[in-house]
Amino acid sequence: MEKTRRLIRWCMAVLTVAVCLLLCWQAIDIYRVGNSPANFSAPGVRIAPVYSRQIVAERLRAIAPALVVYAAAAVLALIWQAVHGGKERPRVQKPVPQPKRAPGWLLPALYIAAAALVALGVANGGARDVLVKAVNICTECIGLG
Amino acid sequence: MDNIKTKKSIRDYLPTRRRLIQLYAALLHNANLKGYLQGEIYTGSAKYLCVPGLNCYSCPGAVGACPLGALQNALASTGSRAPYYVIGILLLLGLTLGRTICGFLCPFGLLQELLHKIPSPKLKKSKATRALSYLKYVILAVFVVAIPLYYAAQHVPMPGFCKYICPSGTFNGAIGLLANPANADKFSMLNILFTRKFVIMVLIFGGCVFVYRAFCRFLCPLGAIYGLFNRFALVGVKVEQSKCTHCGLCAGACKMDVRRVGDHECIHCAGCVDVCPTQAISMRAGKAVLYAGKKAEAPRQKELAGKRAIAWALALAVLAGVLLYFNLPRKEDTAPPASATAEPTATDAPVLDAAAATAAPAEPSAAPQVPEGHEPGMLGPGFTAPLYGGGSFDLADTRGKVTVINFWATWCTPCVNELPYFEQLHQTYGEDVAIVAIHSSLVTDDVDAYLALYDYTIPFALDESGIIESYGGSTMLPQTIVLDRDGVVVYNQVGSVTYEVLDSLVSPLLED
Repeated sequence: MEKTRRLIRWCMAVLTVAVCLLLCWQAIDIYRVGNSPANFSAPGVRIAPVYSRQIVAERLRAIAPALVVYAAAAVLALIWQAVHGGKERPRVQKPVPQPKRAPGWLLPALYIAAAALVALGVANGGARDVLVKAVNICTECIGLG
Repeated sequence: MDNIKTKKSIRDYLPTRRRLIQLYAALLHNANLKGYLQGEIYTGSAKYLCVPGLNCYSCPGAVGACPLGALQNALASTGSRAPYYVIGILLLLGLTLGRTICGFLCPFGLLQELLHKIPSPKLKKSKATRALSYLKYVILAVFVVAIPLYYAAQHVPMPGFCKYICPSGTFNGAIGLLANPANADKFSMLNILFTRKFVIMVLIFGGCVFVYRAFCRFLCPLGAIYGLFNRFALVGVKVEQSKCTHCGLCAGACKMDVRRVGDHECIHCAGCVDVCPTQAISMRAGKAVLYAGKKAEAPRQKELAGKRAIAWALALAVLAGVLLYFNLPRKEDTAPPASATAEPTATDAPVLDAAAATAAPAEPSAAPQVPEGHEPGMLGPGFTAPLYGGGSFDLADTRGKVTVINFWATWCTPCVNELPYFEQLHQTYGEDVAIVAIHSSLVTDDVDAYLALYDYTIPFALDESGIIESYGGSTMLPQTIVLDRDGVVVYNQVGSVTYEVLDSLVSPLLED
């Protein structure tokens, strides 16, 4: 049983690494093709965008069999593990002594400070800043560009 | 051999209470389910509040602000106001829950744990992983604090962690939005930034299969912040010193890099509670015991089951209320959008790039017949906007000239980075090209001060009347529109532009 478990784990490890590399390669290759000199009509002006829904769909279609195999293998391995897997044996780790307890007044004092900061923040417009950033999509922040 | 074989009951196949709480919290964080269907983010007032976990606020489902994103943006705006609000919120969350947030509430923590379920050889904690766990403090100092502050001094808002690392932003925000066909045109924005962040995200996800909570342990600056409060936090795993025999089973059983229960690496998952042979460990909220372990609770099983059923019923009622609140159609949802002023063009495909835009400009002679709207080929909606420095900008006055309209904001990094290109365009073409940079109506108090720092000669206006909506924009900046001499839209794109792109758009129109 242990041999099978080990075999399944290593197979899944290889598949995981392969799928990760495949996904990374696809993204890097899309970028490479989109930024190749052949895709520029003039300096700084592209003939076609680097990414498009069609390009991504094509790439995903190309690797779809690999992704499906990985997903199926992961589900089967999970089921096998759930049925045959055991619980991990607890280890012993040399403990580090607990620190002294924080003085009793510290927590209430910090709560008061936190509440005061929130109140000050609402008064100085900081809360509105949070709202503004949260309701507008910063394209650069999420990696869109 | 690492595993002990045990007889399994049906309970072993059911999700644990912690997993159910994690799923519940993930759903609460992302309760705006209709956002996924519409490909739009929630823009209501609930986003005044920061959610406790790492959950990108550009995710279509997100109903609150990400505390880490909010902190970076607050630090990036230190020139205009001190970041009291976000620091206060983080302090409140940290003091109340500490890293219990990581263990129970963070949606990204749940995702990492689910990935770790995939069978594979697992990297055990060691001195090396413990040393690596300090990396998140370096990331906190550099990407969350230093980079935003450094760029703030140069009046450029720069959330370093969001821009360069955050896998939640890539997965929930970028991919969450791009997955919807309504955002097909946003693909044209993607380039090196997306490629880099996508690769980082895939590597982190892959790492989580082999290493328990790889991102949480080594990289997450939010966990680093909450870890600082672990010692004081009201809710969390506590050790009764009088019962503790210092056997070391608790720290040994923990998958995180803890050296003792409750230290800055502890995510208070309560996994150690059942391991303790003397029942010295319990999950507490102040003095109230939330979980004392299976052995300790065995005599009170029935009483506790009743209490837990009531708690779950209440929690589910709250969840149902929240889901209804965020997903029921509202008046503003049923009203026609301001930008839909005309029928769409024959083609559904948006202009994806500069070359395509210039390759098929609208027929100038057809201008009087073309419908008004924001799509290429339509007549750009007219507007008047007040100018900074006095006067107003009227689009009607630019008829006969090629016109470039840029929507921007001082708090938008790519917007301020591309302003010099519009200035360069103005310097190159002078009065032949009418250019106006229109600032968003949100947070405008620092615009005058910002403009005073630079010698821009292009006119800057304020979007008082929702002009951006009439040009098909809403929540994404920057946006650039180019109109031909007849006022017909030939280019309308969200995302950054370069001088070369602007020049390639404008110069053919001037030759017509």
